[in-house]
Amino acid sequence: MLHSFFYVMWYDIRSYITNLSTLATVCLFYLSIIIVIPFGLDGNSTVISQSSTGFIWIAFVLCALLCIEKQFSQDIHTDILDILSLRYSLALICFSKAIAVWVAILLPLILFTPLSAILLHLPFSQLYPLLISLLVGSPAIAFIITLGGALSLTHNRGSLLVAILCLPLCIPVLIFGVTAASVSIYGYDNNTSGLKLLFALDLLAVALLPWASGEILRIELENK
Amino acid sequence: MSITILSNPYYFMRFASIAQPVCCVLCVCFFITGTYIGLYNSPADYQQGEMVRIMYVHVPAASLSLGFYTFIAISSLIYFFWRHKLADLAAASAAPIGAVVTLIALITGALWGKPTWGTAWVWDARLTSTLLLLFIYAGYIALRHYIDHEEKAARIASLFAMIGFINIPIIKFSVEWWNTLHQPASLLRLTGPSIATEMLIPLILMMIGLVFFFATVVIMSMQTEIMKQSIKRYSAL
Repeated sequence: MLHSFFYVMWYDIRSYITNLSTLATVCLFYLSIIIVIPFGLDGNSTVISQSSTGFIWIAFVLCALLCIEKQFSQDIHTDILDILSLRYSLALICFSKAIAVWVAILLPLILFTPLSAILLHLPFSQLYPLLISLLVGSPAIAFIITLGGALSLTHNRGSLLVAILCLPLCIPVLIFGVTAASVSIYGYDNNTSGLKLLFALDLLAVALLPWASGEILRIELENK
Repeated sequence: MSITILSNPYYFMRFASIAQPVCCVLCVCFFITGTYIGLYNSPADYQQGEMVRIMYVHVPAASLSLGFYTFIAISSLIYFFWRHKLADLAAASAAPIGAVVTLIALITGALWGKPTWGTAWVWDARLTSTLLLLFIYAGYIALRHYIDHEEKAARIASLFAMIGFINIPIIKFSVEWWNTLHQPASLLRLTGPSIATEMLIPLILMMIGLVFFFATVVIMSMQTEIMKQSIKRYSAL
C-alpha cells in the first residue's frame, strides 16, 4: 500500500517537474495577479500594504484552482487509473495525487510569497504569520483541487463549471487563512484560533476529500 | 410498518396521493394565519417600526434555506450508501426550491438592510456565506444537468451535496464567530428564543407554512418524476 502511495506520488511529481509548463503558468499567473492589484488600487501604498495578506491569499487560491484540469488529464488517456484501481483503493491514489500537487505546485508558490510580499509592501513582521498560514492552509486546498480534478473528468464541457464548484469549498480555508495571517495586524499575537481552525480544515479534508474524489473516479471508471 | 416502506415507489405514490393535498392545505392555512397575524395582529418594533414585518418572510426563508440543504445532504447520504432511488429524487426536487428560498432570503435581507443598516449589501460573514450557499445550490443543480449519464449524475451530485454540507455550520455560527453587522441568532439557540411572544407566533407559523410548502412541492415533483419514468418504461416495452 505504501509502495503504491509513493509510486503514484513520485510519478506525479516527476511529471510536474519534467514538464514545467504547469508550474510556470501557475507562478506567472500568481505574479501577474500580484502585479495587477496595485493598479486596481490606484497605487495607494497604505491600502495596498494593509490588505496585502488578503490579496496574496486570494491570488494563491485562484492559482491553485488553475491546476484542477491538470490533475487527472494525463491519467485518463493512458489507462493507468484502471490498472492501479485493480490493486489499490482509489482514495489512496487521490490522496497521493493531492500530496504530489502540494509538493510540486503549491510549495513553490508559497516560496514565491516573500517576493509578492515585497511587491505589495507587506510589513516584514507579517510575512512570518502569512507564510505559516499558507503552509498550514495549502494541504486542504490541494485536496480540494484533487476533488475538482476528479469532477472535471465527469463531463467534457470545460473546467469552468468545476472552478465554480470548487471555489465555495475553498472559502472556509480562505477565511481562516486570512484570520491566521492577520493576527499580528490587530495586535493579539497569542490568538492562534485561525491556525487551529485551519488545521481542523486540513484534517477534515484529509478524512473526507480523498474518499470523495476516489468515489467520483470509481463512478467515472465504471461508466466509461 | 416503518418509514422505509416509502422507499418502494408504489407505496410512496399511495402515501403521496394523501400527503400531498394534506400538506398543501396545511401550507395555505399556516401561510394565511401567519401573514394575517404578522401584518395586522403583531406589534411594530419600537426602533424599526413597521419595517420589522419583513422578518416574517426573511427569517423563515433564511433559516429554512439551511434546513432544506440539510435535507438534500441527508437524502444524498441515503442515496449514496443505500441506493434508494427515491432519496435521490427527493434531493433533486428539493434543490431548486432551496435555491429559490436562499434567493428570497438574500433579497428580503437586502430590502430590510437598506433602511435599517443603511446599505443593501455588506461583506458580512453571514451574508457572504449565504451567498455561497446559493452558489452551492446552483453548482449542485448545474452538476446534475451537465452530466449526461443519469445515474452517474445522481451519484456524483450526491457526493457533492454531502461535501457542500460543510458550509452549513459555517453559516449557522458565522454570526457568533465574526462580530459583524448581522445580528446573532435570536430564535434557534440553547437558552431559548429572545424575541417577544407576539412576534414569535407569526414567525413560527410562517416557518411551519414554508416547511409544508416545501413538502408539497417536493412530493409533487417526485410524483411527476416517478410518473415520467414509468411512462418511459412503458413506452420502451
